[in-house]
Amino acid sequence: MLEVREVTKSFGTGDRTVTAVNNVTMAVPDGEFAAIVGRSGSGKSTLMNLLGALERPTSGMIFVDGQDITRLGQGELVQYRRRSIGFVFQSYNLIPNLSSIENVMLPMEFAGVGKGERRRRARGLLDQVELTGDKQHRKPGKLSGGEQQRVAIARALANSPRLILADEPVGNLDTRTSATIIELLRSLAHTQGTTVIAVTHDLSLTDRADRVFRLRDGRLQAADGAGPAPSAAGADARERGR
Amino acid sequence: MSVVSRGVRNAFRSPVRAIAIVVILGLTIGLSFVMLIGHQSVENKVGTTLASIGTTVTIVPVGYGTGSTANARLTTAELSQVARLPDVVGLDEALPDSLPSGGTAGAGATLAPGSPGAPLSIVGTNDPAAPSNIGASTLAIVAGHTIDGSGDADDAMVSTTVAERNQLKVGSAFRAYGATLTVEAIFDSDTDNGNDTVIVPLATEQRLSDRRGEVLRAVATVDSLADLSAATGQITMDLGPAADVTSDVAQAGQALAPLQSVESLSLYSLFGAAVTAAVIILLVMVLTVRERKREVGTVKAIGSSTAGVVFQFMAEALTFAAAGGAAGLIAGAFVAGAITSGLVSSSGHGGSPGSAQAAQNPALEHLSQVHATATVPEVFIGLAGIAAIAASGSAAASYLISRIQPAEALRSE
Repeated sequence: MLEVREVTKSFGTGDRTVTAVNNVTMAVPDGEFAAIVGRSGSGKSTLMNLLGALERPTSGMIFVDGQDITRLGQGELVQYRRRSIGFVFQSYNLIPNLSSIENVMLPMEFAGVGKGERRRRARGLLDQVELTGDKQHRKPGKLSGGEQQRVAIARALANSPRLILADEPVGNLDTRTSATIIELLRSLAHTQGTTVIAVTHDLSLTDRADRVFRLRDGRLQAADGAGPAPSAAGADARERGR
Repeated sequence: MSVVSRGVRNAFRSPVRAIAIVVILGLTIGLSFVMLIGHQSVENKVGTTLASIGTTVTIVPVGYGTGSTANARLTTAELSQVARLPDVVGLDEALPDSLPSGGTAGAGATLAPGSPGAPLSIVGTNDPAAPSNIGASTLAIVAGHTIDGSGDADDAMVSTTVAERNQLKVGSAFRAYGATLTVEAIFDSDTDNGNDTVIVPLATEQRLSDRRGEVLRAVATVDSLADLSAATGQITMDLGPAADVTSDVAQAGQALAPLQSVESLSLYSLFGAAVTAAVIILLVMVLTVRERKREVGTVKAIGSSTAGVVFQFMAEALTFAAAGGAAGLIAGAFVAGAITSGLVSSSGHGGSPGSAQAAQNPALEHLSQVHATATVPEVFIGLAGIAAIAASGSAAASYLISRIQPAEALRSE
């Protein structure tokens, strides 16, 4: 369960202060595919960074499975990002001189997984996102945008995180590839119980999300589809009903 | 893939950039290495020269050798307090003089010098076997036996050339100061002046020349190099202003001063080149880290620790340093000898054969012949220095970036 309580994030820019996230309170149950939508500058990416412990809020609390991650020390934050979070970035952010499989192996190296196990799991994850054959050994520059995003998703899954945070995961992709990626994220949430939160302004993604949060000027305007925390089975049932 | 192998691979992301960095580093590291070798070689030369000079202190009356010796006198009584100093293990006293020469003659005649026209000298000494008394570095007895320097018999030692010129042999007699002296030994030395000097006991010379108790030159031997400076100071204080007291080390210091300036110059150059290499690595890593700021944010977002980021950049910098170091060491080993010789020869050293210092002390000859060779410790010192520079430069640069919040790094372009 992810729970955000009255979180605010302000930045100082010269002599003025900009509040990117303003007193946001929200909750996302385990195994749900949620979307955060809003116009550019609405605070979506900042909220994602706060959820992923990439920066600390100015005030408020963020609970992940009952633990307030805003109070973690530096070492604990590293462990949290390593074990509990998987990031999918809009521009993929793959390491350019590493092959696809090496990119996927990287988070496992940080988590202390043995080399053989890393390679085996990375291969399996790339197979899962349907990146097979010699493409697993190509560097990102030799892959299409959709293929790079699939590598990024496989990398996000490397340490079997409880929470996947995807920032504009289909922002740079064509319609067909977007649909593939969206279905992949949905199935992760509904079949593996991984909570997936995607920041987007893509309607094709929000249409497929279990829950949609709307941000405007850093404030949460509405949460569509919000209701009792669904179990994985409930999510599956909802999936079947669509 | 480990953090080390990632760092090594990162170093060669851009081959052109990597080659440029390695070449620049190779030049500065090579220069550092050359200066290290030059410094060590000159230092070794200075050290071995000082060690070979010995631990002697030369004592002469003030003004001796300048033609104004009228009032300058030293006596055996004054010098006896030098002999009693705890650090002094030997005292060679000498009283040199000139002998009037005459034509060649047989036994009982006045001596002629070994070389026609050359002055003939005589020296009274308590150590007749010491070549320094006749201005030579070797003195070998070829016939007879060494006279007793502590006695006052009318015995003498002459050189082979004087003996041949005057038809003398062991047991022959000749006249000096109106007295008859007996040849007890015939010697050979390595200088013309030495071969034109007659050696007699100190007391004999004092008596014959009517300068009883007088000494014109003494050489005190000190027990160790460590005690030399203190002993020299004590002798100076004991004998007062009437004596000029000079240790060989002080004399060598003048001859070695140019070499020591090369030693200092190479040391400063070494530091300069090392600092340049450090600055190059630091700037390269600052630029590299800034270029990859977003990548730093990414690896921290997916679980890398700050230390992991720093180690990766350190591995990258060490790769550059290792490649540049290898190039620099190889190039430096080839040119170190030529550069060191050039520095020494342009330093105006005074130790060349025939120079004033070399004439006074043979140990000061060949000071310009410094052989610059890289030794294993020097290579290890060089490698350790390179590694330390690379590690500290990259650590400083990457630590500053890796400390920032991952989100901030990810926001950068």
